[in-house]
Amino acid sequence: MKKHLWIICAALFFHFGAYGQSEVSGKVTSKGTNEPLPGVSILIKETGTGVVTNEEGEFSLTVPPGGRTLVFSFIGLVKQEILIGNRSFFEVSLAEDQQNLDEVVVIGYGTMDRRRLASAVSTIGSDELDKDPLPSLTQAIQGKAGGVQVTQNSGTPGGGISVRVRGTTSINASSEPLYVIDGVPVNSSTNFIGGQDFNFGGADQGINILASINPSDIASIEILKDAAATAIYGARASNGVVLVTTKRGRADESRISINAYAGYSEVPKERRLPFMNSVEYVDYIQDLWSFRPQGGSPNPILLDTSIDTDWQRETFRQAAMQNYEISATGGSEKTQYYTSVGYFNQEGTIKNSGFHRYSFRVNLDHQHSDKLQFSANVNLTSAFNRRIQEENSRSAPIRNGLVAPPTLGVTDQNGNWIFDPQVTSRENPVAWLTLPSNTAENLRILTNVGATYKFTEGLSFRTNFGVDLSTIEENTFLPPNGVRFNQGIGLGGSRISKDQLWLNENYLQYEKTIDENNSFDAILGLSFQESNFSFTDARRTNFPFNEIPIISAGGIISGANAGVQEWSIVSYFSRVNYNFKNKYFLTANYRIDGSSRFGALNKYAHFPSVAVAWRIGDEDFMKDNGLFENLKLRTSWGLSGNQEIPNYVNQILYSGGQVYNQQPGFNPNVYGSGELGWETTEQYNVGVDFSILNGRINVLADYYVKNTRDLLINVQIPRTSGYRTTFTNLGEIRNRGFEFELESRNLTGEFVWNTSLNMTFNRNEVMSLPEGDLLGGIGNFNIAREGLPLGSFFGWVMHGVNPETGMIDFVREDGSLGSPSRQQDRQIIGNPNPRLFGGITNNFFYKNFDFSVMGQFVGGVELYNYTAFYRLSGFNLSGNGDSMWTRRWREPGDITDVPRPTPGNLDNAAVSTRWVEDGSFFRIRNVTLGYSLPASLAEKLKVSNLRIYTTVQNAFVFTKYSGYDPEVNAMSSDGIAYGTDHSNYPQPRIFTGGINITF
Amino acid sequence: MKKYLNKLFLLSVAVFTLSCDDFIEKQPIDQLSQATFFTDAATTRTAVIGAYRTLTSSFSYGQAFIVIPEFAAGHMAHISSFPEYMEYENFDIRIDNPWSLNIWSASYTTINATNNIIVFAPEIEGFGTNNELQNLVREARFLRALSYFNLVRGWGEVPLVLIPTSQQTTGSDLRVSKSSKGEVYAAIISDLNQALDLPLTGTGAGKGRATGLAARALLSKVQLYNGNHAEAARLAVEIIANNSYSLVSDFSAIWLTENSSESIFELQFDAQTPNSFVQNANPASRQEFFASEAALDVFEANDLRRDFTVRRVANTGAEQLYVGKYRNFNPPGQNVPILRLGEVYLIHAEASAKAESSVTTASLESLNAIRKRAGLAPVSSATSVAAFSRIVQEERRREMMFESEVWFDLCRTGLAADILGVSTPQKYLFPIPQLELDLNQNLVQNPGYGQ
Repeated sequence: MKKHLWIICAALFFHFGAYGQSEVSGKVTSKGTNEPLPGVSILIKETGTGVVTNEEGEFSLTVPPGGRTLVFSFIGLVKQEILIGNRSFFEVSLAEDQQNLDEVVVIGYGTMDRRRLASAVSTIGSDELDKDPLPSLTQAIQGKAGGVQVTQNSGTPGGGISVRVRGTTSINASSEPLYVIDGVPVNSSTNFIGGQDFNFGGADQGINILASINPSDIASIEILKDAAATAIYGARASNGVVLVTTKRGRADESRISINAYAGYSEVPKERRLPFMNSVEYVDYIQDLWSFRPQGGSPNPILLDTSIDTDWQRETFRQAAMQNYEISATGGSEKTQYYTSVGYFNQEGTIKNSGFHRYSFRVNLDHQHSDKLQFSANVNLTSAFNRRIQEENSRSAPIRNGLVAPPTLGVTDQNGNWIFDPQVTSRENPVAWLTLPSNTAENLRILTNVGATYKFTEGLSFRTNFGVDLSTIEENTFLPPNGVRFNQGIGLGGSRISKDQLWLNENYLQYEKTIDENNSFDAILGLSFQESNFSFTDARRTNFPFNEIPIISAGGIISGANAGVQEWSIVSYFSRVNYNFKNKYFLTANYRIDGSSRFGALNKYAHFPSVAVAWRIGDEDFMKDNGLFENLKLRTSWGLSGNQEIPNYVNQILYSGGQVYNQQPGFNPNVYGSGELGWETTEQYNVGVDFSILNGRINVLADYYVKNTRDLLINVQIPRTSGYRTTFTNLGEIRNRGFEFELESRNLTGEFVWNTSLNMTFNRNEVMSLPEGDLLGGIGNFNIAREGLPLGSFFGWVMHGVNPETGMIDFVREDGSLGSPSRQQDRQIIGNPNPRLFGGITNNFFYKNFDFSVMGQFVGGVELYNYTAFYRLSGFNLSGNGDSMWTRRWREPGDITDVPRPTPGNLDNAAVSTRWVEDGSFFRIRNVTLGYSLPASLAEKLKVSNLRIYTTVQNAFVFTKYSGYDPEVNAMSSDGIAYGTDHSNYPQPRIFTGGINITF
Repeated sequence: MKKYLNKLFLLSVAVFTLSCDDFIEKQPIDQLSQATFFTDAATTRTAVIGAYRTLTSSFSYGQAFIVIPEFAAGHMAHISSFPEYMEYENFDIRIDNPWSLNIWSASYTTINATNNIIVFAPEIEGFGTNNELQNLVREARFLRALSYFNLVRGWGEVPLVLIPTSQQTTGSDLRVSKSSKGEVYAAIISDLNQALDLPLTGTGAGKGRATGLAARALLSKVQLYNGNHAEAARLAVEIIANNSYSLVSDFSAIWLTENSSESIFELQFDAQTPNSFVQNANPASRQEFFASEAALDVFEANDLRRDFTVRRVANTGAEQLYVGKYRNFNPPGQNVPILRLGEVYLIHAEASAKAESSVTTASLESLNAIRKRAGLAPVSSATSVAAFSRIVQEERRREMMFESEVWFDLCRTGLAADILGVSTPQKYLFPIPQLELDLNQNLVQNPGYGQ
């Protein structure tokens, strides 16, 4: 049902017969309307060659020797086969296909006809994936599937993301879904954080390991959502499973495709932040110093209004982006292949940042004999992130760079960097951006080799061996000159991490049709998976000059370290699908997992699930009801697990590296319990599939309840223990929600208009926390408390600016006003879990033009705008601030919403409603206009298809949020701290133009 | 067929279950579990080294335990006057102040590390005859005593945990109530009495480690705080008379050379064990912390210590005051003398006068030994023991500035009210960290700090 009437797509499947014996021609119209149908494919069945109809629905082609049958097909319409015989002119009318829900859905260890599916699965097909320039597969999911919320943590090219399938289920174990690529559960860290040491300044800027997959290689993405669908991946499935299937070759279909696009990105002008200009700044900073308890006056260099530097302009740039890829696919009856090579390069909108990727893929299938079939996939990628400091980092461009005094220039007449004479730790923002380097290169080999042996009709055995090997090399360099941090000394670090994961799966498949009413299929299998992670790093200081950023140039070795850890999981799994009368369907799964991560008492866990579906629409009493077609009711129940916690936290451990006086030391640093066990999610799902208006509107809708219990929580324990935290199973979270996906073919005929819409309403609630509240986030702003959504904002309530003092009054427990000093005055002041989110896509086709607009929305959500803190704290002795300061409190009696500056006092900046904003937004995520060459012209150019297109990504955001972008998640590694904007990289607007050519 | 499948399933379960249990049994490769740790002297040695390492953390002597008491004593400035620091200078500490929590946490991290050694090492076979193992336990006792001494000076009554956390099996065991100051001092003195049996001095690999003389020096100071002046004076005399240590002639040499002849217990920092504070308080490095103008005013103009201790450097056109005792920043290897002979002289001066209720020649001599090195005229008399004690405290302030002692001395003697202007003795103690109160309902906040 995700198929679109996409002319181009149909055209891709054909090439042109070069010579032949007879000419045929004709016209294709739509049954009912009698309008001509352009883009219908006409295939000569025996030779596989064909053409597509032109704008008038007309076609002509040469039939080579042996050609006897014409096949007319168009997605969404009923296929017709016509014998040529002696005719040379064909008038054909095609009817709408009532059965177009027939769609094969990839599920774990197999595929299934959607008609029979009893569980909740969303599908994103390649027609949706191929159309737009997507940097990463995760963007392909964004706004496309019900129940799935994708958040780009920031606008960093290749940077981390957060994906939530039906809400956040966990506090300290991961809430990210499991990613399975061609059957291999892969390293899917969407926020890989390397050595903290190497993010000088203490940032935790992650990289998205999934960005190493070329999205153009993907044939489809399935998202398994309910327990019946996910339970087959039991142990790691409680956050949903994302199944990625890559493209494969087909027999007798030789194609070469070229896809190229280029463009640029920028920080949208209307999203830039307002800062004071030099004149306003000088007035402000003098005012600020007048409130300084220690007295004094600002350095006169800061007061030179002849200079007015716009630090946003100095920080941002128009950044180029380009992508080139070639794929070739084809094969014979016995052997098919798909192969591709790609290059993607995206510069960041902040100077000196960027991402590029080289990718190679070969997918092979070979039928050795009637009984034995082999397949092999090899994917090699090199993804390179050039990072800048963001988020928590001390000198992040967004955090501290933009608030540099506007009265300072970038460089003096001699080209020397200018530094803040007042706050002697402040870096020159441009020097800080352009001189240091911080790179991460991920070299990844993702490969699997499998074989299927058919014992008898119906019984087969499959074995699959997969490897995911990532080597991530991080290099950082802080030069000795031009930056203040470690001035004259510099700092360089190099770290290599290696993540090796291997998997072996073996399973029996059995299919049996008992009689005309009863059939079933079953699988039974065993899998082993093991991972080994290791790293080696080294650091030096005392670099002689800026030119060589490699640690060999440094003098003193300031650190060298290595580490290694392993985990493993063994699984027994089984599934039965039973089909009764093609109307009643039952799916039952049972999986047993054993994980090295848990204590001796809890190594194994059992994950059963069951689902039933009833195609009530096919019952006699529902036939000819005049409203619904394909009405199907579904319900499911099941358990799934979560084991995404650090390794070895089930023990009490001593760690080394505690060097003192050059001697080796060990310290007790992990306080774990052998009783630690699985986090379990129990999920109920009821759903309905139906279509109305002769299949023009198709709907999938689901209601779910997800209870996650025995939460893996890294609870704080009294510090008198000598430890800070310990992992324990504690408490319960519930997510309840309603989601739907709707596809509508609004207009058909010459002008085609399709709409797809999905929307999710999720309610998250912490049901039980026996040990009391948990706090997290910046300033303990987020709380987990019984009865509230996870990560609710917890702070003081701002009342207003006191007209007498210019200080902010906060509302106390008893209703009186005062300073934000007492914990008991803190209240719940926001919820970072959206009440609703979704996406809407409109596709238009007219003649050879295609046009699409994709919108994405999140509603009923609050954000913690901690980025604003740096512009509004009124604290720093030289920092610039938001232009809001121009209406600040000046003297007793002033009524205003902006307090006075407060050097030496952070009360006004306390964690409070002052930083909470409505984070709802509607984003026009993508606008694409394409034009395909008419078939006749394409033929002259000896190509089967040629399409040019232009795209604007992130065209506009409708939001009340005052920060750069409401789609933000700064604290992705903190299990409670959602919805925090902390100096995040702005989301760019991207303009691209591209071309697709298929030979 | 289904039966066949079931049998196959059972068979494969039978075959694989054994090997699978091994397959999912993963022990750490670069860490050791507690069960395998304390088996011999080698592991115990690394545990003791690890315990020293905890003292070098930036929440301990590596920064916070120097910076915070010095803010309280009025000697420090912060580049942005962050309230989390200024609250100490203003004696108005919020109960959620992060530094109160950090120092508290770091102290108990050291205590747990030492508790493990003190309890588990004696279970190693042959402990009774193994002098090295016994000395390692004595060192651990010294470090535990030092940590509790700092806790009791900072917070007064504190939870007294003397067994490893891993032996406290339930959550309620972890919620330890406060013990009285008397109980804490008794535990400190008991630990130090055993540490007295360490070799009197250490060299080579033993540098930067606790010794018998270091234990005496710490015990002498503890007894001074505990009011046992005679014992404090006796120990001070013993250390001075031992002659293993001698005052350096040039005051600056205490910090400019490592392990000077005066340094009794000096925490060792180097490239592998970096000193955060020196990185953050140096004119050529990151500049976060400075010396205050008030610190300069503590000294008389002719005091030889002044310009070294409060270092004046021109920087980008403006003069800044730096913490002069911290200079060795590249690599950040500035050592921190925790116990040095100069202080022992001052302990002796005060303790001997108080013990004998008169300002004796011996106490004057000890004070004047320090004054002489500073280029100051000797003190020849004092009107009373109390007046003399005040003179000693003022001398300590100049001598020990930026060594984390002054604030505690002024609170101990009650002079903080007069000299620093602390409004109430309740503020002589830091607040119990809010987080700790939240996690441990058995704790009670110190008086003077609202909930």
